Amino acid sequence: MRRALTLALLGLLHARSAGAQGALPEARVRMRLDALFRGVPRYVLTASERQATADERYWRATALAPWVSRAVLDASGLYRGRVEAHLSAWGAVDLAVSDPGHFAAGDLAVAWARGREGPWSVWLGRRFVPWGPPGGLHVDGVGVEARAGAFEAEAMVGRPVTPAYGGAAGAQPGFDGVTATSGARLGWASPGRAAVSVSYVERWARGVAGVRALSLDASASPHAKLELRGSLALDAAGVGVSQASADLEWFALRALTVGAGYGHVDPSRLLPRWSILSVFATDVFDEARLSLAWRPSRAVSLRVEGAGQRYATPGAEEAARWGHRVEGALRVSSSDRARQCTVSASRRDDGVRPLTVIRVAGLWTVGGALALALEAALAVDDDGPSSPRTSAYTRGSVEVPLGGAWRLGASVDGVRSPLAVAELRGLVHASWTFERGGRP
Amino acid sequence: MRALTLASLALALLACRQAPAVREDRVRFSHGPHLRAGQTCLQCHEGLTSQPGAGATARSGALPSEASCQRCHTRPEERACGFCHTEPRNPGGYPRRDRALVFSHPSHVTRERGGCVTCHGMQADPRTVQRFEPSIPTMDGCASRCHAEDLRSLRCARCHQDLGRYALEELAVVRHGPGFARSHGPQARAEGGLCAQCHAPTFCARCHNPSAGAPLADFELLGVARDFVHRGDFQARHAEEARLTQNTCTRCHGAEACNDCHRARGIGGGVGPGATHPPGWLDPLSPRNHGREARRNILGCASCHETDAAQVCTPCHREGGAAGNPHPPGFAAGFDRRTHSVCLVCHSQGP
Repeated sequence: MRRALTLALLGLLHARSAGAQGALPEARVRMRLDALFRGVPRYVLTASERQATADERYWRATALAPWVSRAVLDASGLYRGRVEAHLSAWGAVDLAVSDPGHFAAGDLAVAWARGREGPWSVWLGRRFVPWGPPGGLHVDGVGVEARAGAFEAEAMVGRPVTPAYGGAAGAQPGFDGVTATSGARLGWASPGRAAVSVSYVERWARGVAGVRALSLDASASPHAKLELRGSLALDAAGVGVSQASADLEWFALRALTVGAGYGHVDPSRLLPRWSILSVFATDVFDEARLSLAWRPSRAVSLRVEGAGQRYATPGAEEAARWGHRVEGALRVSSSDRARQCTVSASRRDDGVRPLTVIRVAGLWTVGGALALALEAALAVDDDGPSSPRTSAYTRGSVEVPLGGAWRLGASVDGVRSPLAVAELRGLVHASWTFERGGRP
Repeated sequence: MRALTLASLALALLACRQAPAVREDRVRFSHGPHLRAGQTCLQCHEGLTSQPGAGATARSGALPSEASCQRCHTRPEERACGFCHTEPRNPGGYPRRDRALVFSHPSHVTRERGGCVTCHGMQADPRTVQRFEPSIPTMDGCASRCHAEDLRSLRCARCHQDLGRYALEELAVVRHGPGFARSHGPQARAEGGLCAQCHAPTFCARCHNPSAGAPLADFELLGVARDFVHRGDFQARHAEEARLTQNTCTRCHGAEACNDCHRARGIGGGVGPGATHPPGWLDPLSPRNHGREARRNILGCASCHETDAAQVCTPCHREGGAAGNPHPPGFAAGFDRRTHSVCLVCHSQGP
């Protein structure tokens, strides 16, 4: 972290002095610091036979008062446009925990730098790699990239980031035994028209190649009114499809978009091979979906989506279950986005347990500065509002600029959930932003 | 409970109402009379021809200062605050509209040889300056005149500093339509460079971060209309959501995500098996039987039992065990028990 900060600040100084000479690539530095204090109970599993209900018997709230800080830095165009550096880190101190070994936590989300020279670039550090297995990879490593026209190739090797939890305040960086990952990607992209990417990633742990993912991702716009997106993840270790999706969007009218898609997931193939659970029979999930989006202006958007789902266990005697999902969302905002309102409703049923979720939220700005946001959500299953699985949530937030780059906000939320019968929580948030550089 | 729900809904609906108008100061001005009086644009907007310093915005130097106005408006009544300000007791400046653009007025003025109407007069009546009011150029206007190639090649960063601060917009070429947040994966994986034109890498890490210190909604208090996948009370109902929309979770989360988070909260440790499971868990005829639940959501099982499955699952699910073979049909074709150490938990070593 210190090295990344030093690099970025040195780069900034260098770029600013270079900028005075003119005709050099622009340098740009953006920083944001956040600090928030939350009063949120933390729940742990416990076992008390004296309590009446299952929830009370097995769940116990412990006081938690974490002070969480986050720093984000993006610096680009450094050293005559050859270097960029990125950092996102957080730290937390739990003011309610007295155990000195368990009161603080922190981690780097990303901390990496990349150097470019001609078509080549090399990166080093912790970053999120979007390609590879479904969901991408969060990795400490080194990678090399090369570009030639529309073609690009990259390779990386490193160690997957696997947070460990030993303290009350949150995650700590940790690694479970010897673990390593490596992979490569080949891509071709013509921006706005088509792009294809093929990647292969292996992930090793405990002496076993737990993940061997061969992925194909593509997007295309063969016509001005048509967009296609698809993704296929093959489990090369067990030879099968672990995840697939295909989506089509047809821009039928200027304000109307029709979408159709298909999704497939085989959860057992997403479990690494070192887990014994990866050998168990599981439901294979398939979904066909259809959506309609209407956006008559920048201020109004309406989207409805329906999907049919199939849950099947290959080879099982019992018949496949059918489920469905119906969702709708309306968003209205003023042209300057000082006032916004969104309403959404969702009904899902996997053939066993249906659930309905309703959400309403609004934001408005008073006097050009003070901003107030209110939101509420209700999730209820078919057993009725008194069901233990019913949850309700409401939150009110206010944020005000303090002058310069500072903003101060506060939030109060009330919740009723399967874990907490009724609860009131608070939050105070301060943020500071800094931007410098870019072309004048 | 009902009162809480009704109150929350009422509060949220209240938020949707338009706020009462607040009297803010405006600068009273019309371009027409100034142009009819023979003024050229650059006589008032004199700052447009000089390079502003670092950190300048597109509007820096674009608007006339009070001093430059008073070079012509010399009469006492014209120098009174109320001559220009609608609220002279509480005068303000020009409204701030930071459009986060990378833009240089001087270079455009030079290229157009002072022809401001080229960009700003697109909606004006060219036959007269009587009703002339310059318009702010739109992206379509810029792209149709000079920046067509930039738009076609999606060189967004030539003009836009950072689009990550805005709600997702549906643009003509890069369509961030409704629902894009849930389906952006394939495009981001195939065309990462395209995303990087507008979004810094830390933008991805705001959501794709396995060890986030706090939910994103806590850092973005006002982002109520954004397409955050994990909104507000999601943690309370995520168990239901995970069963109902498995493909949504696995688009972003690997199998370790459940495990990591449950460990952080002490869920799954310290008590015997069955503690967190509902009645009927071990009853093969119950709809809540553990076998059905496991097939529905094996990732949920893995969040607690990945490390102790050999003690919890395999005593029954093994060769000769009471629950029989747990493998799906055709399973053996993909595994070699001699090289997969996990096979040895149940199977004796050998061919």
